[in-house]
Amino acid sequence: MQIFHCYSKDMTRIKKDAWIVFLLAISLACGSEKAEEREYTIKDIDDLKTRQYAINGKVLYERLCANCHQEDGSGLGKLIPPLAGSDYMNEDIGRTIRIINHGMEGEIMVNGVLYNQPMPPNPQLTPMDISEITTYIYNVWGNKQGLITPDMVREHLEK
Amino acid sequence: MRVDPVSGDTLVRKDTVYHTIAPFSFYNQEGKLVNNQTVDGKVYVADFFFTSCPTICPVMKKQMLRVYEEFQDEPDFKILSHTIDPSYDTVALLKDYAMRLGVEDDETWHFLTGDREKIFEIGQTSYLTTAMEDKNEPGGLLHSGAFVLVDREGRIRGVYDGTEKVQVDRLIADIPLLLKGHDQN
Repeated sequence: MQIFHCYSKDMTRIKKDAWIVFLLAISLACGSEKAEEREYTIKDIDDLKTRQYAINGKVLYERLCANCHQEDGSGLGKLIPPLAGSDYMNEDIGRTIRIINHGMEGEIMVNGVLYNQPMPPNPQLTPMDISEITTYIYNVWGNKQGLITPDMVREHLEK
Repeated sequence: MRVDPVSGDTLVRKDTVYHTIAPFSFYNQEGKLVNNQTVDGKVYVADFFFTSCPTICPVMKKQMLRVYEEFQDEPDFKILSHTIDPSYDTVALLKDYAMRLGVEDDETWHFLTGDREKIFEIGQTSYLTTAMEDKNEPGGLLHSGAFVLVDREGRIRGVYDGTEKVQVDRLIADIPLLLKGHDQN
């Protein structure tokens, strides 16, 4: 509110400036508060194509993956590993693509916790489906990997 | 005017006949016998699941964990989770499952196994929920996601969809009403 003293005597101008400073202060305060607890969602994806893929991917994710890995990617205790903030998932996109398609069995270490629950395969999914699912999970929960194309999926599946 | 605190039904002009739970006897994750005496005078929630379930069980367990965390220090509250795949879900496997879920002891939450037919029977006739074999279902078993709330007298007082957070919120709000014994008719 210092602005009152250093500007001209034109009251309307002063009021206007003070009002702008006030609004700015509010929006800054809200912005910083949100930033701390915010989780990146589809709305935060800037690239239009990536966002389109992620929107379809979210639908598939909620139908096929969220029962176990949960809608927020948090997993379930030490039974089902988290996807959100998962070091294992972020290590290797190709491996994630192959696990979605072929399923997996045996022990894996995720964020320092040992998990051992089989994941069923999804042979019905096309490279397009997997492209959408992975684009979704790799661009929310703090991830920013960008678009994962069907061609990239095909390439990883051939390995 | 008297109102059932859980269902909100007015109790003035009619007699509510509650469904009661028949005698049962199963083993929990510690290998201890759990029967009607275990929950005698307690408020409890019952559900049906199996550890290798690829569909709704993990969501149900995530929600039941919320119920557990809310009431685990309440000595008069229990949870009975019955496996419908007892030949695979042995006592040892249920113990491992419970530990991995973060349930360290059997003070509050019992994971039950036993005779398969008896489990199906109590599910269908006492808890009025679906639990049966179905070759067309992923995992080969069909069951509802119901959480059944039972009062201190062994009467069913509420049924909630254990896969819906909003319904489980309601369950969490209803449990204290039965614990306080406000429900005397």
